Amino acid sequence: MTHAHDLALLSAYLDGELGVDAAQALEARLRQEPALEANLARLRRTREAVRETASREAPPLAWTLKAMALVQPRPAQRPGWLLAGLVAGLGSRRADVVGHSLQGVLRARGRRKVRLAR
Amino acid sequence: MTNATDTAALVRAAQAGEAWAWYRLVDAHQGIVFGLLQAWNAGAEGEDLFQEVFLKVHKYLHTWRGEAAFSTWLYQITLNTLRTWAARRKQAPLLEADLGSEEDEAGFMDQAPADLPDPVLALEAEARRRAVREALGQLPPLQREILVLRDIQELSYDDIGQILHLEPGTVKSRLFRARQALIARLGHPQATQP
Repeated sequence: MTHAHDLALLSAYLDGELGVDAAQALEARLRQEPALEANLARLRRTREAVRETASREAPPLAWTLKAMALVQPRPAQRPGWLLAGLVAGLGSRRADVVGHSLQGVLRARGRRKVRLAR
Repeated sequence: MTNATDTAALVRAAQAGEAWAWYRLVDAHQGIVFGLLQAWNAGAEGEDLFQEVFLKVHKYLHTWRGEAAFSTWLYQITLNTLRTWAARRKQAPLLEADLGSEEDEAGFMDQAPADLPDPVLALEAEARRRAVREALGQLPPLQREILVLRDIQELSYDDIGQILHLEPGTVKSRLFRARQALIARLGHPQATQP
């Protein structure tokens, strides 16, 4: 039977959170103790199973735009934001594309910073 | 993803009322919020919670002074929002009681014996994902939080400690206990709470 303290060590080892000496000592034991090695493998597969549940999707675009709309652009900024919104609406689901589009528009107008005239 | 310096500059610009900076802050960090909502199975309420989090971030943005990373602050706001939501729905019993006191830590090490069972591994991918999501949902909130922060968000023990206000050593023991609890639930599924 593996002691609970060893299982906690395995958990930290799995996360790369053991110090060098402790990790090396554990690795030496892992080479000699099949039960310990088997428990490490189970912990690793369980962690992978948890990771599998992670969503790789981005939030819906409407959620993003609604959160962004908490800050209203100043009147002088609005044309740029309208353009950015149009870019978003035409198919980009990634808001950074919208942001970069906005910056590109501003750079093209010869501005050094993304900061519109007041 | 932006680095810490970029993020701090963005926050300062957003604090000054620059819309473009707020826009990029939301873009760069929305994945954290969305990921936690997914892990909590927020379902149809996800959109409202997503907006609630960013409403709070916007409301209190002026209080962020950079002592902790912006992402740490955002994790805390999101987790607090989810705790309130879960308590409101009575999906979960209470927080500190779930993990016991600091004094319990040493005792737990002696009381938690046994080789780990192997219940997850025989399932096929979709069934495994479903089983793990259900088991995560049955864990006490703090155990779920620590597992999600480590195994899904892949944060370091130090970062988790900052977010949950725990010492790294406590993160280590509580994380192991959470993993053990998850494995136990996967081995002996319980009825999902309504």
